[in-house]
Amino acid sequence: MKLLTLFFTNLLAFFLVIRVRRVVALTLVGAVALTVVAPPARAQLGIPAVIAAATAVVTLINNVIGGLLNAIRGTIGSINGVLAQFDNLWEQVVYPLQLINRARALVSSLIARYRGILTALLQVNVSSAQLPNPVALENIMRDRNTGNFAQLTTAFGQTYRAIPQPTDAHPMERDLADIDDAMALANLKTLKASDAMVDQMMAAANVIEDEGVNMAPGSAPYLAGAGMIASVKSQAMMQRMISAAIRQEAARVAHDNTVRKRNAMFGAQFRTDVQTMFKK
Amino acid sequence: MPAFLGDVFHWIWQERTKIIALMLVLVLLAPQPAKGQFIDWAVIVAAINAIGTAISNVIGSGLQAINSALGAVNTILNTINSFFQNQIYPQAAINRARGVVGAVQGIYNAIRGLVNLNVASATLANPRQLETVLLSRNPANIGQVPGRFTTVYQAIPAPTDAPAAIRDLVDMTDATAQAAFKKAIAIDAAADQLMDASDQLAGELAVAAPGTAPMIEAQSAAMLVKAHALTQSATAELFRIRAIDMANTGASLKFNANHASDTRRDVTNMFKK
Repeated sequence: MKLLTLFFTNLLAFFLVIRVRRVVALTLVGAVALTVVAPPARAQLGIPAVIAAATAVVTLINNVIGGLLNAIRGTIGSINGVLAQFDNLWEQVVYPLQLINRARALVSSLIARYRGILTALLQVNVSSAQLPNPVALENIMRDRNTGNFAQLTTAFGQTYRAIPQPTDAHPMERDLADIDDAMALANLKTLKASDAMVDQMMAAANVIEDEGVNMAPGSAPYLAGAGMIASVKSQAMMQRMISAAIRQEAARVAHDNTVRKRNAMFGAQFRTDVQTMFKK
Repeated sequence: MPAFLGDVFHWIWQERTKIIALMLVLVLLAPQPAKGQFIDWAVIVAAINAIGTAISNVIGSGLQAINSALGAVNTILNTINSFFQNQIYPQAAINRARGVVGAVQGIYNAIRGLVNLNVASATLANPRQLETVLLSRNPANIGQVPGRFTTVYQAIPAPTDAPAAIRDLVDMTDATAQAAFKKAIAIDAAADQLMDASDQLAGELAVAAPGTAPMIEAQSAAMLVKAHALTQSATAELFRIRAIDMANTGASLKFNANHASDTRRDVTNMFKK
């Protein structure tokens, strides 16, 4: 555009010099018209800047973004490596499938080997009485049934006889005999209940054991917890049994002690009687 | 100059028709300005191509590599997830195990009914009162033991009625028996507490998550240790009674020896006289 303006300006000057008015005027009008009609083409001067910018973008992509992508790829590779190790740790070291199956197989093996034997051992018949009354008592004592305590009391009375009548024994001795019988009977009832409990406890253990055949490492804590809780309850029952044994032992010791007291009492009575006799 | 300008304007006015026509021709014939007709497109295209190449080579391949690496990560995570869901924590096995906890609890509820059966058997008034206290499972009743015990088993002989050695033996034996009765009440109560605690643990275990089940298991283990301690304490009480019983048997032998010695001395004195 600048070139065109310069060209027409020079042409105007030339024609002014030669004073060709018509031509000068036409030239002037043409120059004005060209100036109006053909505005300067813009942007031809921004190309280096565009190229520089493009180069900068390429450099940015190559150096910065490329570097970052490489770093990210490296980090993901590291994560991948760690995850692979983690996977290997769980699958090969902590929870190897073959050992999980082996543990399940162990449960099956133990069930097959011991369940029947233990059940049979618990049910071995140890009855040994020969006479009718003891046989009846022994059968009821060992029948694992808690619904026939009244029959137990009857059978006990038939074997060990009833408490002497008030006319036949000193009240102290009747009390002693009654508490002795009561302790013995209470313990026999407790033992019947205990036998029934043992059956139930074996059933509970079997339930846990049966699930053990199909357990997973994640479900095993439930079974272990159930077994642990059952053990706590079993201990509580064991304590009740020991408590009954303590009562029985204490009653037996107290009985023996009462005999000593009775001897002392009889001795004192005898001394009093002798003194009374000699006074007469 | 003013004269020249005046001539020009005068001429323009005279030739206005021609000038207008000429301007119209110029407007119509003059080439329209082509914007950018002087831009070097090849350079710009090359620059853009360079950017495209860089994007394709650097970013494209980088993203492809990242995608590939993420795919590998995803595969491993899926493997781990599948392993945990199917082998370690299968939901079906967890549900079955929870069911086992409930089943075991049901069995022990039935057992608890057996534990609390009434086994009282005394028939006479005094023994019945003593037995009621002994089987009460209530530690608050421990204070009633001495009175009820003495009613059934009698008091220590008066000093005039028995030698001091016999009175000591009788007192020690009564003390041991009474202590054992008291201990039995306490143990029964402790057993009830353990049953309650284990019921609570079982209830919690039945709703526990696989991750919290070992926590319940740990608490159950702690409770089991306490239960063992209580059992040990009860067993110790049993041994104490037997120890005192054994001591009484030995004491009888000693008393017999003393009696024999006294008799020998008395007979010797009698013959001396």
